[in-house]
This record gives sequence, structure tokens and C-alpha cells, in this order.
Amino acid sequence: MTNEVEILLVEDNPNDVELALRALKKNNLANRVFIVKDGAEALDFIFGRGAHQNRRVENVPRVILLDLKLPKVDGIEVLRAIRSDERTKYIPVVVLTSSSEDRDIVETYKLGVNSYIVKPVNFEKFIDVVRELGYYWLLLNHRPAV
Amino acid sequence: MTLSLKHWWPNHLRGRLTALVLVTLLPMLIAQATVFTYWYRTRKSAELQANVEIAQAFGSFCQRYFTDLANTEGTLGEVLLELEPERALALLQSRSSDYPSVYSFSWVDPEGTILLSSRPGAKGISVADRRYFQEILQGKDWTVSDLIQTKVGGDDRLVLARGIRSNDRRLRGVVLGEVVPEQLGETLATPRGGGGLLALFDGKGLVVSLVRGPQVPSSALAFKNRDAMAIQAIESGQQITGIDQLPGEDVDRLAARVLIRDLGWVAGASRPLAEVMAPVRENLLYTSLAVLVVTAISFLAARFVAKSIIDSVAVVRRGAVNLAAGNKARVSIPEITELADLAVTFNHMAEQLTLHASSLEKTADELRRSNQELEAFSYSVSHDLRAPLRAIDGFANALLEDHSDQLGSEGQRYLSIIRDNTDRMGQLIDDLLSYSRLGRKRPSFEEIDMEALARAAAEDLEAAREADSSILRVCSMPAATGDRTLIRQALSNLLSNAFKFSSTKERPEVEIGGRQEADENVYWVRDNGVGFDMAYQHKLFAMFQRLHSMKEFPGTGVGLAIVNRVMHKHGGRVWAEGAVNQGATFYFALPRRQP
Repeated sequence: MTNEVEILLVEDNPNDVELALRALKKNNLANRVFIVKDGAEALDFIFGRGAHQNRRVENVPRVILLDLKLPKVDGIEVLRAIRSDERTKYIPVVVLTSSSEDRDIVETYKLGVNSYIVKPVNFEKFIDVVRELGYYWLLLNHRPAV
Repeated sequence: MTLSLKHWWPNHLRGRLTALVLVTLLPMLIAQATVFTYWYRTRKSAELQANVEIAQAFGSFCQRYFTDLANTEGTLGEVLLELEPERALALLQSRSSDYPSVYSFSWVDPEGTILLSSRPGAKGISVADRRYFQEILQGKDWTVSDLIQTKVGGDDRLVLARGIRSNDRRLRGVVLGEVVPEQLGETLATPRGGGGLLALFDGKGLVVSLVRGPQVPSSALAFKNRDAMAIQAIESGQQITGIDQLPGEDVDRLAARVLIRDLGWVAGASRPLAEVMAPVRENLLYTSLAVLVVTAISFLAARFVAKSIIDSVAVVRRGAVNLAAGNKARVSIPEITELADLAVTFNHMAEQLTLHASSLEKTADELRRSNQELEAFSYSVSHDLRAPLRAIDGFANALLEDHSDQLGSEGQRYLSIIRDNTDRMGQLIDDLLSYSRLGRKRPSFEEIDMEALARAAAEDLEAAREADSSILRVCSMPAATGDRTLIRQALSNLLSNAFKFSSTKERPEVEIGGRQEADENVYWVRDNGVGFDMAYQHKLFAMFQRLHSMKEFPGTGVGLAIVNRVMHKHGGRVWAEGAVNQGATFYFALPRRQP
């Protein structure tokens, strides 16, 4: 339980990663965050493949923060893979992206995203957003046992 | 008249040509009918006249015959007075054989007793009771009896009695000539051809003699028949003409009855109507046949012409249908010059259309491509431009938080300016995106309650602390037809502006209303704010154009551009009126029916 990853952050932009960690830290949520830099690595991590083949798939993260525009495999594909696997389909996935395009929102909701959040330019607002989503998904939310 | 003509005049080509043939034929038929009626009438009256003349001729022959016979008898009587009885009888017998139609001559004394006769057995018979004898007694020189039966032999005979008188007019004897009526006709008349008939009637209207044409049946009118028309002539004393039917023939005849004055008899002539009119009928038949043939040919020609035109038109029409379906449409050139012109013009048009269509398609392709590029561009703007902004803002914030003591107050102020500008840049990107998204959105039209929509937009603005809807007055607004989301966006932008630019006033007032006009509904948003100089009104609705500084009123200059774009998408328009410090009124008009 102690080694369990609570938050999987899928984000290619190192600046965004740093700011996200800073925001999480400000809200005391940065304890067990694991960061992957593209969609392929995200899938490896989630499904215990490649570099992460020693990881047990059943130890699912509490929440996945997913960017959409990613190298190799994009966020939509990652979401689709998570939702089509029995072991991972109940993991809460929050899309955290710059895009407020309707088609992205619609597509991700069709795939069963739990939240769709547009990253605000203003950092204070970003901190607010991260706080709210951390409290909700890590503290308040209950999910079915896998 | 024009109305009824319009009513009967057919709309299709074939009908019209047929009607044209009918219209041409009709006067021809009327002329034909008139000619034939006239011909029939003149033919009839000519034939009646001919019958009168023939009957008159017959009558006058008859009269001359009897006059001759009377003269002969007179001479005979003078001679008989001088002769011995035997020689007198021989003379009577020889004279009667000279006259084939005279059966016998007799010599009668003034008391009416036959003294001598070439008819055997007649001697001693008294004819004193005969009317002819009495007429002689009364002083007539000669007379002809009606048809009578002889006392000896009972034959039907006509008797010509001639009184023989002395110089003092004393009757010395009477010569009788016994005329065989059957032979009179042969003697007096030439038989007529065909169904022509000649007849002689005595003073009682009985047929005395008949001369039949070869086609008159022997059963029609017989000797001694009573003839009504002859009786009518005798009674009226005038000649009679008209249509008559003979007993036993059942055929209409054009007939005439003419009086023979000296005898008190009637001569008659007739000819069957059908025979008279045969040439007319024959002619009518041939003419009708000719008209029928002409009509048939005309109708066929009309149909042929109509068909050739209709077919040619159908070819062009099919071409047009093909063209409308987007196929390549070239039509064959028909023979009729005008239609050939049409076909050539059509082909030319089709070619031009194809050219235009392909160039349009090319343009549409280019538009689609550029639209896709634009979409990709705005997507990338949305994603890629905001990421660095976030970094700038985020790290500026980190700098402020973690190293503010090293920055000093001036450094902190600079960083604040950096952060303000990233905010503003973020806002600009957002507005730009929503403007470009608007360009791609196809409006869906529905009926909109504008008053309710205005109130909802104002409440949203109030919730976002951009407005105070308590100062808003919503007047009556006609319902609109449009895209609810887009119209709401436009209303929201206009209201937001109105609240914003009147916020510096002591008592800000914002009013929204509308009115219905002939083709469009006009709506307005009015405020009593800072207004604007009408000289710059052309800049109001352009992208990123602002008439105020950021310090006075924040904003990106996209709101009215969005309003403008929304109205364009609805086929509507926007305009504004205002003056500096005297408020502004923004109008927008939406077509009453969707474009």
C-alpha cells in the first residue's frame, strides 16, 4: 500500500510537469506522483509492460491526470486503452489539457472520462483547480474494488 | 368571350395544334353546309318549276288533241247529216280506225238516242241522261266527259260529244267520240326518264291516263285512283306544287298539278326527290369524304408536328434534368430551327455551367482545405500558444513566491506586469478561438423567445460579476428565428458591453428591446454610458478594434466582432448609434424567415 502510486501524471511538457508538481505540492498532494512523458510510456506503466513489466497491473493509481496532446500515442488513445481493459476501466481519468475544442471534449466524454479540465493560463487559478481535483479524487471519491 | 376562350383553349401543344385545325376546318364546314343548303333549295324549286312546265305542256297537248277531235267530229257530223244510214255507219267505222285512241264514233239524235255507232250493239241506247249530252243541250259546242262506263260493254271511257247545229243554232244531232283513256298518254306525251311520272286527271280528280318513267313501279298510282293534289287544284282553281307521295310507292316526290282550263281537267308531273337530289347527294358525299380526308391529314400533320416539337423539347428537358442531377448533359440538335437554337443555347449553357461548377468545386475544395488548415491552426493556437503562457505565468509566480526578497519592489512590479500580460494574452487567445469556432459553426434555426433569452444572458453576466441585472430594463421583444447558442452569445456580448460602458455612470441604465418590421425583426441594446464618437463607428465591429484604453475599460475587442459574425450567419445585420458621453444604442436585425 505504501508503494502504491496515487497520481499518474501523463504530461510531455517539462514546464507543465514542474508547474503541476508545484501546484500539487502547494496542496500537499505530491507524495506519490508518478510522471510519464508520452502516451506509450503511460500505457506501459498502466499495463505493466516494457520498462514497467515488474509492476502489477492490479495496483492501479488513484487517479490519472492525462494530457491529450502527447508524443507517440495521444491522450485519446491512452484513454481508450484504459477504458477497454477490465482491470483498468474503473480508474478515474481526468483530462488536463490546453485544448477547449468541442470535439476533444465530446470524444473524451464518449470514452468515459471522469473530468475534463482546461489548464488555466493563470497559475493561481491552476493551483485552485489542482486542489479541487486532488481533494475530490483522492479524498472524497470512492471507487469499486478491483 | 376572352374568358371562355381562355377556358377552352388547351394548354398543351398537341391540344393547341388540334384546336387550330378545328378552328380552320370549322368555317370550311359552315361554308360547305351553306353551299349545299343553297344548292338543295335551288335544285328543288327548279325541279318544281320544271314539273309545272311539263304538266302545262302535257295539258296543252291534251287540250289540242281534244280540240282537234272536236273539229273532226264537227266535220263528221256535217257529213253524216247528208248521208244514207249505211254509208254513214261505214264512215263512222272508217274514221274510228283512223284514230287509234278513239274506240268508236256514234251519231246521236237530239233526243239522246244513238242512231248509228261503230261500237256494235250501241244502236238504240239512250245517252240523254249523260251529263255531256245535257251540256250539249244547254248549248255547248263540244264537251269531254269525265271517266264514265259505257252502257254497252261497261268499259271506262272518255266521251267527246260534239253538237251539230243548224245555222239558227238548233241542235240537229250529236257526234260522240269514245276515247280509250289508256291510249291517251301514249298518244300525247313522251315518257319521262327515271322515276318521272306524267298523269292526266279528270274533273273528279280520277286518274285518266298515266305515263310512267322506267323506274316508277306499276303498283304506284293506278288508273281511276283518286288524286288528292289534283282535287286540291280543281277546288282552288290554281296550279299546285309540293311534295307528294303516290299510293303504293312510299317515296317523296316533287310534284305539280296544272289545270287544263277548257276541259276542267288536271295535268300532273312529278319526279322522286331522291332522284332529283342524287347529284347533290353524290357531290355532298364526295365533298364530305374529301373534308374527312383533309381533316384526318390535318390531324395527323398536327400530331406529327406536335410530336416533333414535343420530342425536341423533351430532349432539351431531359438534358436539363440530367444537368440538374449533376450529370454531363449535351442534347442532340433537333431539325426545327428555333428548337435547334434552343438546343444549341442549352448545350452552351450546360458547358458554361459545367465550367462554373468545376471552378466552384475547385473553389469549394480550396475553401475546405483552407478551413481545415484554419482549424488545425486554431487547434494548435489553443494548445501550443497557451502552454508557453502558462509556463511564463507559472514561473513568474514561482519567482514571486520563492525569490521575492531578492527581486525588490521594482522587480516584483515588473513580474506583476508580466503576469498581467500573460493573463491578457490568454484572454486574447480564448476570444480569438471562440471567434474562429463561431466561423465554423453552422447555425441551426429554431424559434427563440428573445425576452427570456435576454434575461438568462443578463443573469449569467451577473453571476460572473460582469453586470448588475437590476439596472436592466427588458422591453417587449418579438420572437426570433435563429441559433439559440449564437444569439445568446451575441446578446451576452452586447449586454456585457452596455453594463461595462455604463458602469462609470452614477445611475447606469441598460435597456433591451425590439420591434417587428416588414421583413426583419430589429432589436436594440441601449445604455447611458460613455458612448462613442460616430466618426469611429466603422471600427466598432472589426476584430481587436477598441475605442477605449485598457485602463478605462478592459476588453479584447472581440465581443462586437462576434456579434457581427453571428448576425452575418443569420443573414442579419448590425449597426450602432451613439455620441460621446451620451450613451450608445446597438442594433441588430434578424430576417423574419430563416435565410
